Amino acid sequence: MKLFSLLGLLEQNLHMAPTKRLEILSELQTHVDDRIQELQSNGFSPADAQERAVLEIGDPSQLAGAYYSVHETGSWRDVAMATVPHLALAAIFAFHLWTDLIWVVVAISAATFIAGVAWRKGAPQWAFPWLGYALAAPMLSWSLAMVAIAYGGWMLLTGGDIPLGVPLYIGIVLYIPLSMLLVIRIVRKAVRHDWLMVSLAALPLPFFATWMFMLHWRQGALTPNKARALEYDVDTAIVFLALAITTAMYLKVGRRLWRIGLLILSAPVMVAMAAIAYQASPHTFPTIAAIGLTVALLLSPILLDPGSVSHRNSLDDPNADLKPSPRANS
Amino acid sequence: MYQKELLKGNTETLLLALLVQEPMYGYQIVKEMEQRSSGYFLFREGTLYPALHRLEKAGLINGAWAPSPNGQQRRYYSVSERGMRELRRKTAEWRDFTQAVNLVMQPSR
Repeated sequence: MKLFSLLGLLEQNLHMAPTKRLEILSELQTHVDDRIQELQSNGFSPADAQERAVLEIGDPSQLAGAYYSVHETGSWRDVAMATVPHLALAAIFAFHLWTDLIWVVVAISAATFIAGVAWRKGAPQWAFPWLGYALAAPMLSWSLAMVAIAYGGWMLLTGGDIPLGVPLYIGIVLYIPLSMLLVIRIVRKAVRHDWLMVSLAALPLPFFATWMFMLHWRQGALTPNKARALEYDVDTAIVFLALAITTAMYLKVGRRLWRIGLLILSAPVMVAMAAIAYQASPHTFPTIAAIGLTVALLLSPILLDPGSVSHRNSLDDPNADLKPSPRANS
Repeated sequence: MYQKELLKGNTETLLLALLVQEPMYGYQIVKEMEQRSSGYFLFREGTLYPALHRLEKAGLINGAWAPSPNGQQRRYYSVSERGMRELRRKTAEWRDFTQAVNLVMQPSR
């Protein structure tokens, strides 16, 4: 195996901030260069020296796993910062504050501001749950905007008049693609850090969707029967507490596979908890479909990972199999 | 196996003890460790670099890119104030431990 293949494989397995990834690769490259020089001065040919130096590095995926464990295991400060938005949402539901628009606006503004500031400061791990809530707002606005367009279109067809004026609809038609472009750009940037962190950010979205579905289905706050929706606030707060616990566990677990397992297991459990709380049987088709969609949504960021396809190709390369290091004494 | 376990538990102390003498880069650490231990300690890259990064994340050492004597850029590591305190604590702990082990394994006649 050549040095560039080793570094390429390592790069694909280093799921962390691009600056940190580059620093690790540069450091390792200088190490291998030094070793090659030493071997060559001991009589090895340049090709043999490179092959041996690369073999001594060992399995790149194991090495990447060791780096991942060091750099991506969250501190208690990370845990505290990352769980704040979930706990704040739990409090908003526990105290029935969500029906007051001012609290919703404050929560969305705070999430957007903190996610933005954290993003500019290098996107620490705790920023991703904030990012998830910040992006939930434009996603929610798309559905409302589409409802508005459909309503306007229907009124135009049936009554020959557009309610609320044409400029509003032009604004909506412009807003949807522009905000979608912005969200896609942010998500793609986040995936370059680590697609799994995007899954963590997306963790509350399936539950939000379930809750909103419940509001319509149970004739809750969006219809005159607000008191009925408030009955479920304690259950909703419990789900947000579960989200906070899952986030804390995720950040303290340093192994990537365990993190994937945790997300795949916890998200459907939370959807099932919501379904039971909202008095839908967990065996019914919509619940099962929601669980399936949740898992698919949480794994979908891997499709945006530019390294995933080339990584699979490189694993097909027979040269990718590395022998154990001959310097195995340590 | 026993040697490996011993090293595993003391890798970071050994690195601090080495770096307290002068700032070093990764490859230099491997060579110095090998030389000073007369070939007993042979660090693999997979052990060395994650350990260095762990120490840096814990604030016990500082890493910075700087040119080496031959002009090539390398990442040098030096012990921080916090690392000095940790090394003193670990050294005292190690001294007490080895004394106790010696007392048991080599009792005075």
